[in-house]
Amino acid sequence: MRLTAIKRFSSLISAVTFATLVGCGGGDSGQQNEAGTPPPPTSDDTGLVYNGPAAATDDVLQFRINLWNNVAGDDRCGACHNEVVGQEPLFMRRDDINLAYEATLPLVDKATPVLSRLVERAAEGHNAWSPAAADILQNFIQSWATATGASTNAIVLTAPAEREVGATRRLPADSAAFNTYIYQTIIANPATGNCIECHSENSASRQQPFFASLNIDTAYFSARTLIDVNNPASSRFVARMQEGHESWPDPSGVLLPEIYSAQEMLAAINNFVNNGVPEPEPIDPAFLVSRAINIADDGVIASTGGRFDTNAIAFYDFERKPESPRIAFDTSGVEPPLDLNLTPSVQFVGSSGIRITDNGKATGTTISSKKLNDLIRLTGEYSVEAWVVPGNVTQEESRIVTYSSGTSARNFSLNQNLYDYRFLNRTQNTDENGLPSLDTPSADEVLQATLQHVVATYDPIEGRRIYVNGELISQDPTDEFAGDINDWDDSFVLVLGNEPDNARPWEGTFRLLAIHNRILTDEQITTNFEAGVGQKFFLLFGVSHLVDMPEAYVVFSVEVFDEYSYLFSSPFFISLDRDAVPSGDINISGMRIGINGSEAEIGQAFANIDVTVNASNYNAETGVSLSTTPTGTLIGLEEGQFSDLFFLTFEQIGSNTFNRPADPTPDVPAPVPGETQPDFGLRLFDEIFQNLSAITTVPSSRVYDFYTSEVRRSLPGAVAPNAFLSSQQSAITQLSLAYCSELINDNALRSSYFGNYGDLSTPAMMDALIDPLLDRMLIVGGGTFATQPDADDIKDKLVNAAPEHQGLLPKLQTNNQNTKAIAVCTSVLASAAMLMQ
Amino acid sequence: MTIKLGEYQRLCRRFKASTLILGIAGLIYGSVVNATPEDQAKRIHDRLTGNLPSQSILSQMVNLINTGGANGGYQAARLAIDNDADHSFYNVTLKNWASPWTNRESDAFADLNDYTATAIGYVRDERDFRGLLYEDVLYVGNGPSASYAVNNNNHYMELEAGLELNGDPGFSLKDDLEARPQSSLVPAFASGGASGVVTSRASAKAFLIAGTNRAAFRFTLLNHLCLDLEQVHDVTRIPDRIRQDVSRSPAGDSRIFLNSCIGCHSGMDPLTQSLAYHNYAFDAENDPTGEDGQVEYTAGTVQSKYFNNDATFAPGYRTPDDSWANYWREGKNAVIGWDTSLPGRGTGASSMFQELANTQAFAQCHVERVFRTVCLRTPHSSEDLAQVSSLVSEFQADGNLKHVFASSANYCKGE
Repeated sequence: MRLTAIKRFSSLISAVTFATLVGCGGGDSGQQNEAGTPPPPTSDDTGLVYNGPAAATDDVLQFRINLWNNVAGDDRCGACHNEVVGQEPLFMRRDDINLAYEATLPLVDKATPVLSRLVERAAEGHNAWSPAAADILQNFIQSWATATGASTNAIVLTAPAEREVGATRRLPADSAAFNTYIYQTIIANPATGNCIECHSENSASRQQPFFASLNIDTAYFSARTLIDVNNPASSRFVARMQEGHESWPDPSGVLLPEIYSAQEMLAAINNFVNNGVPEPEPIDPAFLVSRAINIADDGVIASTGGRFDTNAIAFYDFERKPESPRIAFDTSGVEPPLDLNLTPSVQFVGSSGIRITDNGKATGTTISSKKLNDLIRLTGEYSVEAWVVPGNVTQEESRIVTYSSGTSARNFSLNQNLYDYRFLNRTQNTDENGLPSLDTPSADEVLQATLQHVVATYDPIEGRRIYVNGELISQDPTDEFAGDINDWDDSFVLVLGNEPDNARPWEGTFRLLAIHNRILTDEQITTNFEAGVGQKFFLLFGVSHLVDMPEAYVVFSVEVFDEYSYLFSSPFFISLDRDAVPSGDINISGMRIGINGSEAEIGQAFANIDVTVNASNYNAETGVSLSTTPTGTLIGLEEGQFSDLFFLTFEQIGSNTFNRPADPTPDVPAPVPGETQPDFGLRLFDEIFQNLSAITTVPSSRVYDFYTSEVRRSLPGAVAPNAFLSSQQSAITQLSLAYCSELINDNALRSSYFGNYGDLSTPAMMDALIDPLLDRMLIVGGGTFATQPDADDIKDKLVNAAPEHQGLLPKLQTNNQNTKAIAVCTSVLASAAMLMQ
Repeated sequence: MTIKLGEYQRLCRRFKASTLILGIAGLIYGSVVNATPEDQAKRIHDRLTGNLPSQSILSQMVNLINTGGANGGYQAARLAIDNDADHSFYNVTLKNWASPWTNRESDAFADLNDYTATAIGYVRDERDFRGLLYEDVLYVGNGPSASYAVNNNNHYMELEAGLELNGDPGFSLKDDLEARPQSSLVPAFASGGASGVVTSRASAKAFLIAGTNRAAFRFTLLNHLCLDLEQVHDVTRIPDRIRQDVSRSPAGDSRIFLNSCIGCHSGMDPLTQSLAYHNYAFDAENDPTGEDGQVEYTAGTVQSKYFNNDATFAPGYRTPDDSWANYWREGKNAVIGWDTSLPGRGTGASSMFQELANTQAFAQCHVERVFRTVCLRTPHSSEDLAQVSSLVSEFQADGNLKHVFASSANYCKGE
């Protein structure tokens, strides 16, 4: 990316004249020189002695500290570009730092260090002492720029080449081809994934989107965003199969289900595209379209400066180097480089970053890790700074970054424990594992599975602190666990995503990691947080053909957000003609982002803007902002940043208007009759409580406390008979027992209710007890009722049936009359005759 | 009166009675075919009140069924609703019907509260039920010694504990509820901000507590439109009001946002913005569940919860006020059936919840729920679906849910 970008932006530095950097072997080919590249120096032996005049200015001093000291040695640029060897330019001369400074200035771009000629040459391989030499040089220049405040320079916008929006395939309007090639073959086919089991509004577990709706138009409506007709392999349908979502097995058993089903899905979409999708068409001429633009060819690199890395002793931007694809390079420039070896399950992602999954890790060596021990113990303080994306919020005691030997001994580690960041640091006042830890507050759920900037700092006075997204979240309340770190062990290793023994795996993504041997101050942390991570570009969309203003552009800041999308943010309108002023109102509304010939289906966060640009609000330096909030949105990545071609459309711009048709609306699916259901059910809890009171005439207040505290929640809460539980029957029985006890044990109530029922030794006596209950439980008299049980039938089953058929009488084995009566009463009340309605 | 489980088990063992309980399978109720007028009257009463009619009520209902022609069953149902001696339609049926809406767990066993009481009051008074979500109304009890309080539920708990049953003197949700302006009961709403049951204390305690206020929207959608967010998912809406707290790259994968998260948040966030000034204030340290908390309304000042985790995606939307817009009027969610006489945008909670209440989905949801409550089944046959469709139309005309209860009971009385 760097090479491409620099090539495109040569105009920015075209005024700079410099001689070609030449390696010691002569000639211009970096390749020729690489064989002779000396080994990296050690931190304590650069072979460099400076006895010349003092730096004339502070900038010269910062140049010496940040760049010259690091590369003027015999093993780097200083080997040739000095006054003795005489290789021009003499930017690493050793006789006079001021002359070296003057020679260096044309070779660096402190506003945008990545554009520096020095960086460009190193990236080309010229005397590159490491695959990461260009990154290291860039960091040196960045540090110099930051130290002198040069990194905040204004961006110089340059006009891109004018391009027209290309043609693209578009989904057909009707659903016929979708029905033939995808719906029937895959989605509605029960042998392939059972989509219809969930993704239909008629399914029991209906799940959006309804691309498996029984209504084919509804299904197609929902499937449109899941099909990429210009790149079928990028279709969401295919991606979900690859993720194993409801994939189906290969009948031959050869392929894994996710691979097989992804192939099947892709084949179906290819058939759909090849047979049912029209050939690529140009964009609708009615649209108001800007000029098209590409990031790699036309993007203006925005400075990512402003980071404070002066004390970084290990730095990783996780940019993949093709020549060393399994190494994450330490680009701090501090020797020895603490490069990290990646295990197979660690992958580089996007433009920069590594994703750690499946028990993977990135590991330094013991020897190179030793510099952490050596350089941090020199100062007694340090900071671990990272841009990370935790993979989830369910992993516990997982190591994000650790400098340790295993689970029981460490110098420091930054861990994830569910929603918490956890910081362990070994001092004289902690155990050898750095415990107790400092955590972010669990209740605040600070750690989220999203891109976060986290900094853990330690110094012997303040102790530990954890900052997340620029804010101080946790700090040691006392100095109880602070102290010297002289007990650190220099045999430990730096590991990302695990312990050295693989016992504490972490899943997530690193976008940047920096270890500083000083604490970062609050201001420096804010600075580094606001600097963000990743390369940003400005895209200038030409609109002069749509407005009455020369060299007019709508400008977006754009960055590759992750592997799958771009972040478009902070749009503004500006003319590159500094003398131009809007001659009248320029109304801009309904702005959408297009990609590769079509408006993006998802993410059009600027479609509602409505801004007027005129002479009173226009500023020739900054233009006019087109959106204050939101300032950014994601647009899905299609072909990649080197190929995707963007453009803008408008509903109004200047005097031009486009009457956008209303979004299509699906038909309301007609309800479909379902299976016949029973039209009876259970009484619910309060109904049971009330009915038992009505049947027994016991005021409900007498059992209210028992009801609410003991049984209410155990009674039926749903009417469906098939949801009835034995525990609910037990609760019904308990409540019936409570009511019956009140009824029988209250002499006045009992007498009024039953009269005298004797000792319940005969069926007649039982009738005297049961009949009054049934009289109130059933409707007796007043007509014939098919929906209640017959009283005689109930009595027959209760009293006269054989014991094995649950007859009651033979089982009453007590002489206590009231106890017998309570039992009989309970049996009557706690029956289905009461429960069902 | 307290009977412990142990005592019950001892009794069971003593009388070997545990096997004497009649099995529920022993009595199977079938569909009422060729139901007599008595059967019909009994079922209407049973389904509406949960208990059996007295002989007097039964005979009156039978008479109405026999003499009232096509409208007889409906008249019998109205009789059962308002003349049941125990007022069980209000004290039991409606209370249990509305209670699940008042908490996150959909707990039907929840204590009576201002949300439930207001829902009951709307049915009792045959008010346009759509106003339940947005009018400046709360129903309070007439009689409890504890008066309505903004920071506890004692008033309603006393009302519930004292409900009359079977001759017990006590309160009745039929006779002892009265409507009051919410703005007169809750000082926080004295100058605006009330929005029916959504801003009741019970709702605030359940849905406006902590979080981001999206729960108040989601549960209203769930309880009153019978739609969960999954069902309104639409990734094609303009996502310009998705707040900063929503990760655009969950676990480092922006596809999840672009294909999933955005589908709900693009429509939900601009609607939930209407609650930007609402909160449930409580002492998180000493009262973590907010038992003593109260609703808070900060007119003109956006609650800090709207800026929670604002660094998660700083370029996201930063809420400036309580203006709202309904992006779901277009696209697939047009099928929700929005009221075209309303503007589809506005400021504050009341107008937003009016937008929700005046949908076809709101009517469909409540009519179907009443049907299930009374008929004990979901509408499944073509006749059932036609009946529901007819009732939805009637409800949309007048918002009278008591009428829907009575009509459903009449429809399901058996033939």
